[in-house]
Amino acid sequence: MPSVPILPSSSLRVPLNSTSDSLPTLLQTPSGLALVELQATIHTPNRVVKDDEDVAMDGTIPQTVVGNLSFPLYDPSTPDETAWMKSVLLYIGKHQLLKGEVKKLPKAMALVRRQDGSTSETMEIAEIVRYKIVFSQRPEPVGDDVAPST
Amino acid sequence: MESRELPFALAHEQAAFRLLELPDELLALLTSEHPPTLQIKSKGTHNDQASSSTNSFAVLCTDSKTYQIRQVQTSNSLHIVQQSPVPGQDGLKDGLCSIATCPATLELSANSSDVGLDLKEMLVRWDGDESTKTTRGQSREFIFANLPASNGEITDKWSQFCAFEVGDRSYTPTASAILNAWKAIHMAAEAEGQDLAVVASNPAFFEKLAEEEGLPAAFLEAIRCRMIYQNGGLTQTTTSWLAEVVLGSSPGTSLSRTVFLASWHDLLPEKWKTLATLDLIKPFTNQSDPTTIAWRESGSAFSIAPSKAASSNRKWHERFKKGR
Repeated sequence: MPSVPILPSSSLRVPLNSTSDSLPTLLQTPSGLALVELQATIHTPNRVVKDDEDVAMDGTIPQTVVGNLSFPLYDPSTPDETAWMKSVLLYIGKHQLLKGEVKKLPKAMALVRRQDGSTSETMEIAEIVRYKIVFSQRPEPVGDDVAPST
Repeated sequence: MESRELPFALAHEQAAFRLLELPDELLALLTSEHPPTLQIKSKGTHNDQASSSTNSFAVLCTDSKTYQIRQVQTSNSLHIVQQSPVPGQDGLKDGLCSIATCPATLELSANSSDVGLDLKEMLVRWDGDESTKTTRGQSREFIFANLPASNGEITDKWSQFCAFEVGDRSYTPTASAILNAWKAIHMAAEAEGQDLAVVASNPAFFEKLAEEEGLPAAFLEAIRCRMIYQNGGLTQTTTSWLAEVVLGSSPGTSLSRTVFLASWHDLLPEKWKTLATLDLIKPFTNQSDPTTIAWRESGSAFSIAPSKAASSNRKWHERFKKGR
């Protein structure tokens, strides 16, 4: 296939969904896609069939929850402050902690994927992201009592 | 304050994403009011052996600009996460779900290949003789899809070379073919008492002439488009271009200055002759010898041989490839 079109996504022009406040404003993107960089690989236990049945019922995509992400310094009432970017925590399971930070990408990144429902090779830009959450350290072990429960 | 915790999940079905680094000007384009459709182009594999100057890489094109794509492996894993409801102990909760992992990013850099040279390789040279038409050659559509450069840049070179398409094959006329056609155009315009600058905006004139002369209509249309190639300065553009045609149609690499000037002036209507000065053609000619006129290195649509030889000599890795 010598020539492949990449369409600009319509969602790029959709204004931010104000009800989706799970991420700090800075990390929010119109289609809700963000970048997380890990100096680690997350291994999940083999999938259990029950899992899939459960999620099918509540309409979410089949997935395995592996941890918890938090921004300990983020205060939604002062969204313009940037000090919170220095600290992001990701607990994996109950015994491992990744410490990271939010970094501005040197160059914005386009997330490109094959267009939904398209049979041809047409690609589309699903999102343009400008920040990423980076966990550049290896995981640290933590005790049961420290890790928050899911 | 109590910080929010977001459940972090991995989707079972991983989606296929590519991460594309955006240079500032591309970012500005994509976030503008009317973002353009981009294109990824790569050279068709069956052409790889025939090409000497083009490497088999993929490029990303806007309407008028070309970027080379380089794949860079990342040592860390890059997750693309989606804000989505994640099931928790007490029902659904706002969370993040990793829907894809990307092992590499695509970096863009300025295109280093010569669009004109690449286009020339895909066009069949046509010297005005019907019988030289071969079974080689590709359609215009094929060339635009397979030449790794933006449509704008290809269109520009296409017009500059007077390229034309007949029966799904694309040709570039030799300087001699253009010279003969131009003489016919010039004569016909004079016979009808028409100004060439006016004729250039009259496609019907060229169509009629093509029929009378037995030339491909697409070829004469290409010449007409070459006359209006640069907006505004039709007479100057055409006058300068005709100097290239004269130089290109002479057998040697240089031409006696008197012969050159005489042939050049012969091609021009009276009104244009004052434009035909040596200063006008300085950009692409070598005038260091006061008795001759020669090409400056790789100056024009017709100076094919010297520029090609020069570029292939510099590419040592390609010479190695051939030697293997």
